[in-house]
Amino acid sequence: MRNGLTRVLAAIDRISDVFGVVAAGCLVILIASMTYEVIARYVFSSPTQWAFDVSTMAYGLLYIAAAGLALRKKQHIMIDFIYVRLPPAVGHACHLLLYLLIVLPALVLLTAAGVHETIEAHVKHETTKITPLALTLWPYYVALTASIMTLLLQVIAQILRHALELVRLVSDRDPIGIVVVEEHR
Amino acid sequence: MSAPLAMLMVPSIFVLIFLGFPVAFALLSVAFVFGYMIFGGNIGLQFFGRIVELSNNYVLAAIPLFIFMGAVLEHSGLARKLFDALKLWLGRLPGGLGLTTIVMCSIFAATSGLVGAVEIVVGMMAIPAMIKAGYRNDLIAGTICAGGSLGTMIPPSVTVVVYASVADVSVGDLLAGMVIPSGVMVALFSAWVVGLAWFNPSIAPKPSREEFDMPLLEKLRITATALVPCLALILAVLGSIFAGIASPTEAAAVGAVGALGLTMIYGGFSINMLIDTLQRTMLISAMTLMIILGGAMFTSVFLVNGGAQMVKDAIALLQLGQNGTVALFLTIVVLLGFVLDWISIILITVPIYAIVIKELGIEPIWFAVLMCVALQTSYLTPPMAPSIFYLRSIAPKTMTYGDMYRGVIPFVIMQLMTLLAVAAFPWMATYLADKLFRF
Repeated sequence: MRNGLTRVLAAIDRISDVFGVVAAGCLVILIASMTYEVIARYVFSSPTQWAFDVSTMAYGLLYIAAAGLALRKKQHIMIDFIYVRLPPAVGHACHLLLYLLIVLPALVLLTAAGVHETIEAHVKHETTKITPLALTLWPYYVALTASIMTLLLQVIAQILRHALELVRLVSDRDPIGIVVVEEHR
Repeated sequence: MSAPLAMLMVPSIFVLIFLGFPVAFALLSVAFVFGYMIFGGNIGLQFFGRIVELSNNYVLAAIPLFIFMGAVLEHSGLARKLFDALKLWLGRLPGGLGLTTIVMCSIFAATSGLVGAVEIVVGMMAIPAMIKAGYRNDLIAGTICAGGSLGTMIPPSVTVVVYASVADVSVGDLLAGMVIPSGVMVALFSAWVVGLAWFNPSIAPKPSREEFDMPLLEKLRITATALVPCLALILAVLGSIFAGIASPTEAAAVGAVGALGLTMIYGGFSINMLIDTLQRTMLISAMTLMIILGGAMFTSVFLVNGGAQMVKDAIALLQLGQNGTVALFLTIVVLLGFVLDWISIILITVPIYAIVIKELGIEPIWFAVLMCVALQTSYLTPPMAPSIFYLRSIAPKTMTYGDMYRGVIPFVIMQLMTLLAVAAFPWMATYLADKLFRF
């Protein structure tokens, strides 16, 4: 039980890390493709066909892919001046319930929708519409849906962490030796 | 029937946010619960649609790029040189180090859209220098916080890009609109620091003379190597936007590469630095854009629940007229600034305001500039004051919270004066935007 949970949390964190690397890759692609487009347009006087689509997709994937890692690293903005004055057990219980009862079902439905739209795009051979390039859309949807799933997994990890912390606070001992560090800005 | 639902959405969001729930998830949660009541299980498809829509929003791609530019310049080694150069010219004036800090923050803010980077980078150099010269603590704290807050104001700024995309106004117009009000605010800040030191030299003593003794040629050389590359970068990014050569997103990409180039020239570049910068950029971008995504979901459900009609009815009932409505909206933003950060305020208020602004025929760029100036106070007003969080992370132990809170008060007043000036003279916001070349 103890080891099992630790291993699940570690695995989820590793997946978030991998998608973080994907997001960093998207950022590099975004900068490079857009800069190349400007140079191509003004220096070589021949704007590219692909830069707009590529850079938009890179940006579109970037933030969703990094969302799970941002949650794990507590990068999301929270207004904590009341939260830090609540009894810690109450704070953890509130967040646990919100993640479990609202965010988790929302992300499950979002993932299902992502799978549905991906299949739809594949069946109907949907392509990008803005530029004449008309890239096939479904691989992009696969990436978006996978990113949402990563966030879903990280939300499950958050639920487990809050639950463990709650057990520790209530029973006054550390159930599995994981200390959940509260990082406040 | 459905109007009461929309009415419940805004209080719900405040409950979740003040429980310390991440703002992005608070917006998503409220949108999900209220959306589910209407769409049932189809809300998933609705929300996926929002994600695809946001991911196709080319304007918002400027956000990670401006953040990256700021994060790179933070490591560039350029800051030190720039600070030394400005100090040479301004340091011996009354309140000279404070003035140096404000000018330095202005220049750095003009190269960076990254809120916070400006304050930390400049603060780490300016605080020790001012302490050494014997500046009073509250003046140091106020100057650093106010200087840092310029990062949200002076273009290019992420605040402007976020606002423009949520309110659906042109980024280029709004960036141009911010130029004159930013200038006025910098002038007010500078005049305050210099005036205070002029009448009361003991709180801002002049630094010792030795640091300034060097041949004029040497001074000019130091200035040229520090200032010229910075100004070139600013000119390349803002100039290409204002001249219509490149879209703000493209200009941001050029700025990002330019910042990397400067970092290589000034010897701050390394692979570790690049990895670190990429990682920070991607995390801050994810945080920012997830809030925008949550906000987009929130707004769509709010509108479906009859929110637009509710807001229109409420405003019609109040009968405030154009000016009264603008005054009410701005007051709400300044008050929210005490307890919320700027991005949450934008995502909660702007979609609601936009309905009314359109209905009443209020000039959107003027209102947008007023909003961006009003939002700037949120950076300084406690308890939710990002500038004080950043200052706390770099300030010496002898500087108390009392010093910090006291120190920012005059600067908040000057921000409000700028707000009143733009309200009284709309041309301050619209003049440059009208002069822009259309892209």
